Amino acid sequence: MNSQYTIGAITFGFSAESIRQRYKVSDKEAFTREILTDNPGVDEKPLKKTIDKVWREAFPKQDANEEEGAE
Amino acid sequence: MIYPIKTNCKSEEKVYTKTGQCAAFENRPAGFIITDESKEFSLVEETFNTEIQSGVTAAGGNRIYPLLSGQVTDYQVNGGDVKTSQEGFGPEEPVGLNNKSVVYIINKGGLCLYRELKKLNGRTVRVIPVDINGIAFGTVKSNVAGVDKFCGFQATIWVTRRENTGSQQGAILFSVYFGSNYENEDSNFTTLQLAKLVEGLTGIALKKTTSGKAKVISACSGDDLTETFGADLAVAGLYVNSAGTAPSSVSYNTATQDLSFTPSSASYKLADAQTLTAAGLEGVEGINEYVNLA
Repeated sequence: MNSQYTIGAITFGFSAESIRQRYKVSDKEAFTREILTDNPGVDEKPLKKTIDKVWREAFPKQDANEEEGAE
Repeated sequence: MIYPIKTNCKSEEKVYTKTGQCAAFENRPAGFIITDESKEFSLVEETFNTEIQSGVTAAGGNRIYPLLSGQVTDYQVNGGDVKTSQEGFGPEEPVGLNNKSVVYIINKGGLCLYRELKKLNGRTVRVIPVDINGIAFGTVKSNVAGVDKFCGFQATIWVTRRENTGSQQGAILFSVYFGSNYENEDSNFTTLQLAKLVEGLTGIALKKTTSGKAKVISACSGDDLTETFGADLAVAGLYVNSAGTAPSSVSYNTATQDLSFTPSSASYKLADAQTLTAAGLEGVEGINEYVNLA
């Protein structure tokens, strides 16, 4: 799945399949830092919200289990 | 109004010369469509046009190569019998030993188009000449299932160029050598109307600007197309790395008009025409060249 989000002047496209291949469900923070490094100037708060959505698309089951476990 | 000339492959042997006025005769050339030797189309005009449109981005032998955007300015017919002026001898009457050949004179497109067309040198293909009214000329052949199909004339291509001599403008000389079956193909010729202009593809590529960032350019001319396509380029599935995987993220910044890739230290290329067309990027295809953004 390819999803697209716009934050300020920057439009992001994400590949859930590629994220699944490169990261584990616990790597969300590392991925966020990587995106921030590659896109200096992007507003961090909406980016984190966007990545939350992207992460749920990439790891739907694992993410839900992780959240249940956290509660 | 232009009427298609029906094929005479099923006509009688008698010759009826007092025909009605037929409006359709080859008008000035608009250019041609090159197809694979095995490519055939429906004789139903609507289906034919659908097949032509989808052929522009099709893969493998189903891909067609139109050159109809005004690049062709003229063409000269050669071939036929040996001429006395060429060889010092010749037949007293037509014997049809030699096949027909034509040379299309292409004044636009320059060395970029020349380089692309030269890839066809020596290749046996089928050529569908098209005139300025959008009439496509081809032949009718029965396929293995016994169904009549429209296809181009079988020919071998050779492309060369004429240098700018000072008094004469430089041009691409696109020579089409029709095959030994041309006489039969021409007897079975037919026409179909192209519903709209068909254009070929532009090869596009990534060009690294700084680490992890790139622009999209025309592969030959180097024209920057990043702003033209804009945010439509921010789709991860339009790119692939050398391992066959899309980047996890691609972003387009309207302020800087460039693309950022994550992971940034990888080599990427743009996708094929079908993938790009599905994403709204029409008329382009990523060339088969990975660009290292590290």
